[in-house]
Amino acid sequence: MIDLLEESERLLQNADISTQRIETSRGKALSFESETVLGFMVAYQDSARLIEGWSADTEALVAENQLGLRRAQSKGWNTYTVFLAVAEANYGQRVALSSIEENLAGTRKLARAGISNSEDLRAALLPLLPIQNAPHLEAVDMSAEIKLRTTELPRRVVDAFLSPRAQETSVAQILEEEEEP
Amino acid sequence: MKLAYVDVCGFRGYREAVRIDFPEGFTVIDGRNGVGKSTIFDAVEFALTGTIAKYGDATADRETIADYIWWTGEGRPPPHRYVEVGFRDDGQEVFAIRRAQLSDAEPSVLEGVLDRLCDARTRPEAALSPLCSASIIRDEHIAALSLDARETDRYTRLRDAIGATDAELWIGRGSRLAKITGNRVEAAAREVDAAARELAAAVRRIDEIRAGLVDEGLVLGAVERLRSLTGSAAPPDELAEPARAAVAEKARKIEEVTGLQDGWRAAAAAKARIAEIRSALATAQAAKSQADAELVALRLREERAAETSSDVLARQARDLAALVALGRGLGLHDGHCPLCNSGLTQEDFENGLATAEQYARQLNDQAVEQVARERARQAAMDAAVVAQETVDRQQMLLNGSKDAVQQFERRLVAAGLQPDAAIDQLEERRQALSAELERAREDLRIIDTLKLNDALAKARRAEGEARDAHSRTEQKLGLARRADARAQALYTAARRAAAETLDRRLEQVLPLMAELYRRLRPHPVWEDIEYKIRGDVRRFLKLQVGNELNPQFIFSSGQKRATGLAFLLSVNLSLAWSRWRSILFDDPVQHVDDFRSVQLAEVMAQLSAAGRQIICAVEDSALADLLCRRLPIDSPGQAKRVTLGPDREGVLTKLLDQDLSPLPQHALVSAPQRLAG
Repeated sequence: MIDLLEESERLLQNADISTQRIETSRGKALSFESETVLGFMVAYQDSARLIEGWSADTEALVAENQLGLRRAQSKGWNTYTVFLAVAEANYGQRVALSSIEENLAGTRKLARAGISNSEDLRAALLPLLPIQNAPHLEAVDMSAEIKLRTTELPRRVVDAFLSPRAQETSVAQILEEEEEP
Repeated sequence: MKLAYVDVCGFRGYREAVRIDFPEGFTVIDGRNGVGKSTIFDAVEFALTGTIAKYGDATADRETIADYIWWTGEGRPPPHRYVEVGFRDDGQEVFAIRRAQLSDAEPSVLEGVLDRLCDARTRPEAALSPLCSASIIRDEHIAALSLDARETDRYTRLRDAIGATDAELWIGRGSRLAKITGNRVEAAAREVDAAARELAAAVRRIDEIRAGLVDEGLVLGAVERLRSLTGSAAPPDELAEPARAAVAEKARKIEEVTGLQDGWRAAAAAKARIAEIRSALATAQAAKSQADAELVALRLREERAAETSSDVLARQARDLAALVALGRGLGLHDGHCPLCNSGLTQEDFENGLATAEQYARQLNDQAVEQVARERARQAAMDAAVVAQETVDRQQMLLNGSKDAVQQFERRLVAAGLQPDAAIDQLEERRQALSAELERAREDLRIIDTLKLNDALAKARRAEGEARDAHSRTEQKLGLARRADARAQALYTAARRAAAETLDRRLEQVLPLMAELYRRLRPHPVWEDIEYKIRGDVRRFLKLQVGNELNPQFIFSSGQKRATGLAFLLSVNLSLAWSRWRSILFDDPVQHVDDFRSVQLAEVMAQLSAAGRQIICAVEDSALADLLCRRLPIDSPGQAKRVTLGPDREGVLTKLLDQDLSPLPQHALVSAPQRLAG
């Protein structure tokens, strides 16, 4: 089974986010901080425990890290509290998790369940991670692509077609004249 | 390339000059409605394209956006009317485009900026418009590309962004080429049809000629008969002319015999009339003789009765009666007759007068008788004249009939017949001539078929030529079909190349779209979205959530907009040919709730961290605060907040232009700590 805190630490650090394992009165947690955000992460066995404990955990984390949050000054407005659970949530729990996230009081909250692998974890932590799928599109060489799809035609025919300076009527004439290869 | 500054004066709602310099990181612009936030973005688009596309082709009272580009408000007019937009390249060199009311941008400047903003090898035609539409994310675009956008429009937008930019060029060339070759095939097919019709007509002509040809034995017989008929020894192909003359002669003879038949009937009638005429003539001659005899008798009797005419006798009677009347009136005069002076007694005188009167009466009677005789003689003379005329007439008729009969008999003789030839003979002759004529005509038709041999040879030559022509047109059609098949292959290859390369690139882009959707998380339940391309000819970009559910009918208006925003951002990040690393957000959170606004801020933060310059205008100052805190600032001078609004005179201006500072670092986590391994 995935160790959510350990795997999160790896993911966040790879995204140039500093992390630190912390211990609160309610248990283990992970603190993190980047150029613009900071926050805490708590892992749960399942959604039920998450839904039951997130609020108290938040209070404990904030209370026990007041000093650091004060040091952060206005950055403190960018505090995240991340609540993760391995077990899959049912529909009602998913709605409840969404409600937790949509509660903007105090901290920005991420509450996700059903995180069974690193891909699930990556999806859950997306708001903190850089763009994951930025495409790198190279220029398309349409002439080469067309040549690739016209190997049955005489070379001269394809070349005439791909010659931008050749008049289309002239190309049509070559299409008639050129013998099969 | 990033946006360096916007400097406007007399543009849209800005009467006075306003310049905003944009740092490389991000700029947050806030201000209430109508303070000119969108105008900053309008200025960028107008500088690049010369228009503001969000108004499209809208017109009202024959006015368009072109009538409202420059400041049109009340009060003191602006000192100048211009827009100047600067871009900064990676080497910090700034390039500016300036458009003024009275002077447009220099083409060379525009070309230079175009080359810097768009890769010259891969950019599409008129690249600045799609570049603006992908880089300036406006509420209008978000709404248009929300889930309510047509799937084809959505596909087109994505294709224009990431497809091979010259794909349409090759597809168009292939299409035109296929059309040309298709037209040639049609033209060649028409030529083949025409040649086939010509060939069929030539074959039919040969069949028709062959049908007109007769047996050789028949021809020989006809030739012999016509030679006999014409008395000519001409060769068969020269026999037609004399044969036609002979046929005409036969026809003339038939007409002659027919005329003789008519004459025979007239002569027979004349002969029948001659007896009647002769009888009438005898009667007339008898009547003439009788009239002559009567006349002679009357003349003899007249000679015997008096030699004096009735007129003389009547005059003598009248004179004597007058003399008697005179003597009676005068009476005796001295015993003497007053008329003759002879001495008479009264008695004698009276007796003499009575005698004279008696004589006068006798004379009168003689005159009356003489008149009767004269009348009888005259009547006899008239009768004799009439009888003579009758005789003459009958004689003339008789002579006429005789002449007619004689003339007809001479015609018969002239026709080689006996003068007394019977009508049956004439009929036999006519029938014989008619049979000869028909035979001759038939023979003439037979020898006329000799000419068909020439026609057949000509027709065969024509058929050969038509067959050659048909073969040539078929060959031409074959070449045209081959060319058409090749053109279709090229056209198909161009389309396939475009579609397949686009699909390939879509495969690269779709994860980004899915990621941005997931980041903006429009819907609390449907955390993921699936983008599907479908359709062969018309392509569609279909969006699905859950178990193939259409989010268009599930999502709220705000959720749809968040989805549209994810799509627009995907397009911007996928622009393969763009070198412009700025994304301009013009109030992107209209109808979007606070939660999703926060998520958008997170996306902007990641875009900014990835090197994109973010320029975002919002109406809500609290959201502006959030953005200013949430987006990364590497160092001072990298980020800015600008507040726009009216000054004391109501003129739009910058109310705040504040550089933002980096946030404190390592406040919570003291120092970077790496996991072992």
